[in-house]
Amino acid sequence: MAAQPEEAGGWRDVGAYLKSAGFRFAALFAVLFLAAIASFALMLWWGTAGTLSRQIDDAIRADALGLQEAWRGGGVAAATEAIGERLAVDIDDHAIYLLMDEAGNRLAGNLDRWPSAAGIPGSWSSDMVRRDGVAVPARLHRVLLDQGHRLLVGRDATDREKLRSLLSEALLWSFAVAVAFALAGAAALRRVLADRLRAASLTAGAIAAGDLSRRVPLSTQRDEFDQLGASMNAMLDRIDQLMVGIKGVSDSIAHDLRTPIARARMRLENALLSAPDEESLRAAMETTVADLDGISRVFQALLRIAEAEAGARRAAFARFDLAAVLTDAAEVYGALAEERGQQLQTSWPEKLEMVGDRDMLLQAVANLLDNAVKFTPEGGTIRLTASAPARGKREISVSDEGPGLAPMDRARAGERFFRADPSRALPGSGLGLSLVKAVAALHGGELQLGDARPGAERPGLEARLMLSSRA
Amino acid sequence: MPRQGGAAYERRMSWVFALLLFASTSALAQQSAPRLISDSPEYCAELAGRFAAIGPEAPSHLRLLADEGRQLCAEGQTRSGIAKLRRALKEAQRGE
Repeated sequence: MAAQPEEAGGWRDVGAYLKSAGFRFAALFAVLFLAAIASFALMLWWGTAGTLSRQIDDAIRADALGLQEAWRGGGVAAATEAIGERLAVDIDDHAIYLLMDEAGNRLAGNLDRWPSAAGIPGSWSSDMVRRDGVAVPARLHRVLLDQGHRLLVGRDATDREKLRSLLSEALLWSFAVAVAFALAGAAALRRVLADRLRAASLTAGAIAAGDLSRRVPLSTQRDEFDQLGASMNAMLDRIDQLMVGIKGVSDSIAHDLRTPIARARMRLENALLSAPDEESLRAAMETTVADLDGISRVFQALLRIAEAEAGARRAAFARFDLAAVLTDAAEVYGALAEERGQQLQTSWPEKLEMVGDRDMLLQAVANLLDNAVKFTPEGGTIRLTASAPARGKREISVSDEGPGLAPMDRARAGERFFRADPSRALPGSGLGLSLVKAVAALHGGELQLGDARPGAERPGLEARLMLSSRA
Repeated sequence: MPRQGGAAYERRMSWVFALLLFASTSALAQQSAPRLISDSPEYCAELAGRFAAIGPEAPSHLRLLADEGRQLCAEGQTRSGIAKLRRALKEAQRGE
């Protein structure tokens, strides 16, 4: 009884082995190999034993036609003479003839009687005849003549049977060897497949166990398995990167939101404990509501970035005029810049058709203009331009006269909550450029950052959105 | 146990009978097969007669070959004699 689970496990192992891809590939290889061998054997048989059989039948058929002709020309005498002549010159001693009358009397030929298994006249059979007391195979053809006479024409098929026997034996041995080769080849193929996949399987197992640093080792063969391994490694790198990003975002959310929430709590607590009148209490509450709105905006921005990155909004893509979007943005931020003593210069073609998410792009341009207004000093100039540099391409550029970004900071500018040192004193969440970057990626493009005025004391920042108009 | 042993014995015997039946049927079929009669002394004489009919016009080496065939038949080596006579007849036919 104790052996039962073990036995069941054994059968399960066999079942798993039979279902394994390695076994199926190996079985397919073995079947194809044996099919090829069987086709070869069939062709060999057809070309040798088959040809010999067909030649014997052709010779018999021609002989029978000749004798029928003689019968029609001269009756029994002519047929008898023709048979006698044919037998007289049959040096190989392979020919078989028998002519019988209606009563069953032998008239000519070298066979003592009609074969017992005689079938329908005109039919063919493979029968046995005795030569020197030994039964030998013969191929026979029966023909019905006039007046109830019957003619039998045949050939001794000993040579053909010998060839068939030799060929059968050779093919049987060849097939046995082929089966052995097929099985050995299949086993080798299965082992090679298992060996090549083992590295990927072990890596996947280690990662599932929690070791995210493991990667699939690649060989120098650069084959399909290495390509699969490289793809897995690239996927794992990307997952690693995303996990680091998620961790960074979580840390940033915790860090950046803790202060305003603590501030709001303290303000409410102070107001509750020490507000002298209703007016002071109301003012404290209004300030707190504004703070909470700020927090809500941060979450909204995070959600929009996630939405853009996930590509969920791609289904809502539509054709629109980018020029109109830029005009709307310029109208709002032109007024804002004017209030701050800045100047907004714009330039774009009359029409800039593209397919994409209009609202997302407006938000991205607004974020870029918001930054430009924030960092450009009073009296400075902000430039908003757009163009179609190539077929299917759109470019939007926003440049300012602010302090610009150091090259190291530019590389991190798209990260969520990242804020360069000069901007820490200014209001902002560090999510603006993250959204712009995500929107650019959503539209099959990218965000490029550079100096607006290279070499100047305040180089400014030029943000260029390179987009695909067909997204 | 004796019953089981008896059943096994019966099974073995039925196999033996089947084999014997198959062997005897096969032998019977071989015995009942028609016989080739072109290797008899009578047929040798028939071939010699055929050659004699064209003999005077046949080349000497063919006549010699036919004589050898007749001689072999007379000595009881019928198949070899028939083979020589057939070769002589075939050559003579070609010559014609």
